[in-house]
Amino acid sequence: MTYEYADLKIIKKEANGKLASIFSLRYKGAAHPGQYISIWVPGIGQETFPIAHQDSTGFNILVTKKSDVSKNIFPLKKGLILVKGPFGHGFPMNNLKKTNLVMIGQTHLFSPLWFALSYVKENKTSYLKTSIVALQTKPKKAFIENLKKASSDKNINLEYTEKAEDFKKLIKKIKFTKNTNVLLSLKEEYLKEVLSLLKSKKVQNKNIYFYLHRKMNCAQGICGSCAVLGEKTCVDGPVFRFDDVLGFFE
Amino acid sequence: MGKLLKKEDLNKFLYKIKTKQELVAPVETDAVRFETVKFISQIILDKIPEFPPKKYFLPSNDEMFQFRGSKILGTKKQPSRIIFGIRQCDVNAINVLDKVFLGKNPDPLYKERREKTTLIAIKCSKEIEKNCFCTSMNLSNFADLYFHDIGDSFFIEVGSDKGLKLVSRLKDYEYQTGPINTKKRLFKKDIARYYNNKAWKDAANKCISCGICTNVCPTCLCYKQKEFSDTKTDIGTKKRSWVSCQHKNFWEDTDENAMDFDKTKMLKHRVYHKLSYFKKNYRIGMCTGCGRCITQCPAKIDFVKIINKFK
Ligand code: SF4
Ligand code: SF4
Ligand code: FES
Repeated sequence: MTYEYADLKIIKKEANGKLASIFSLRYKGAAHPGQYISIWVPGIGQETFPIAHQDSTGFNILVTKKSDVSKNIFPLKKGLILVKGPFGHGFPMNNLKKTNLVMIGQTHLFSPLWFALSYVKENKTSYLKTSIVALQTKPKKAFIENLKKASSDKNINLEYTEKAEDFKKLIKKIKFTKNTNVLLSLKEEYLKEVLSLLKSKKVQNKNIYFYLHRKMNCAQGICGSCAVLGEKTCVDGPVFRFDDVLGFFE
Repeated sequence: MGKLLKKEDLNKFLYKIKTKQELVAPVETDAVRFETVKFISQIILDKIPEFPPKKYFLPSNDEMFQFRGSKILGTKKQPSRIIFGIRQCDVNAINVLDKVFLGKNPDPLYKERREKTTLIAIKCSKEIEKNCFCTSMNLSNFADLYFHDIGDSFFIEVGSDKGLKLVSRLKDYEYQTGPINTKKRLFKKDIARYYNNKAWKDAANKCISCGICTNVCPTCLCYKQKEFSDTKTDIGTKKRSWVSCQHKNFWEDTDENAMDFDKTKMLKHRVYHKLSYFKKNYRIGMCTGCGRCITQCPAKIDFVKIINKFK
């Protein structure tokens, strides 16, 4: 699959406008929660972004000014950039129907969960209760506003905090039943902690799905830069079921 | 059915090829390596090349394409060439690269290079390196032509139409070829059971992260992409270059938050990728038993010995 031109528009900016923005990307292609796209800014390089939302005109992605590519997306505003995708294995939303969902994520890495959440809302009758626990890392404002909007439903409960300690407390408070599936999108250091927390709450590994935020390069399973214990994040993931990849965190 | 070529006619055969296209073969420079042949007399067939011919399909610093603004200007045309004197391990290594680069998303540059290359292999007989263990690796005959030394002649097995074209005028010949006999063997074991064995840590402690093992490996293919712009012409170039999983920054580059990678994990990543992970996806092993990573490791790390000792 080759890169195609897409329109890019900032739809929401962090208050100071410097840290992060949510961009809407006019680009065809049907995506699934947990998938990602690859963006190429000519002269700078390519980077992958998890898809945060999809509607009839295209996708939304959350861009934080971190890498050379993301920094250079900001001045492009309405400009044309090159996009390919969507790629990867996402959350198996169909198999999770008729269960309770718990989504745990950090703000700057929340995109995949955000997409999963809109999916749940669109298919409301198919899912039981959804609980969201978010750790507010930068960007805070643009993210929380959108998350509140996205979780405005009687079957969805949102809790968020800025403190790592409280974050764990919020997770501990949740009642995990046998019929609960957990979706995670966190930095790897938090991921490890949350996984052991879930173990102590007796959540089975087969009920835990996580989005692995690895930097990708070719996004085609060729270059090897995203490999973890033989699994290539770009094609075998980026969403993994925990019991399939227990070795990742040994 | 095969063909017969008298040894005294080999130079004539190669010279004819060389007049039509680039001929690459093992040549002795600072080391024995695959290079473009200027004079047939340079070709060395009694030593195993210290470097594989991987660079002809995946150069260490490879120009992928040029662009102006967002417009892709195209890739450089690739030359057609014949690689002569390539061994069974390196031929099979190309089979491994094919699985990745010609798989679901064929890489156009690699594809063109492969289509324009003819592989003439030569079977190892006496001059086997002490660290070769290809007989343990289930290799297949994969070359366009396969030369077997049978005394004063070569028996040539024909592997493709491309190969047949080169030898169609030679005499038909029948010959029963035998296996290669390496002294070194890699014992078949379920290595997953030994992932946490202390031997890995002991070996990794000696590793100086030089990356030679991945550099000389005919199947190590990991690369990073980079872009370069020429401000005068406004033309950008996208390049890819080899990276080594035995360098810490390989892992640091994947994510600032990536799980800590120490030398033990890096060594295990290399060995398990070669012997097990790749097989899971492509049904063939990634290691072809060339032994270069063992011979050329300054710390004398020998994964075959490590595995063979597991009880
Ligand atoms: S060649 Fe040896 S010392 Fe160098 S990185 Fe490889 S294993 Fe380590
Ligand atoms: S891992 Fe070592 S022995 Fe195997 S193909 Fe690579 S260099 Fe050769
Ligand atoms: S990004 Fe290249 S293999 Fe995954």
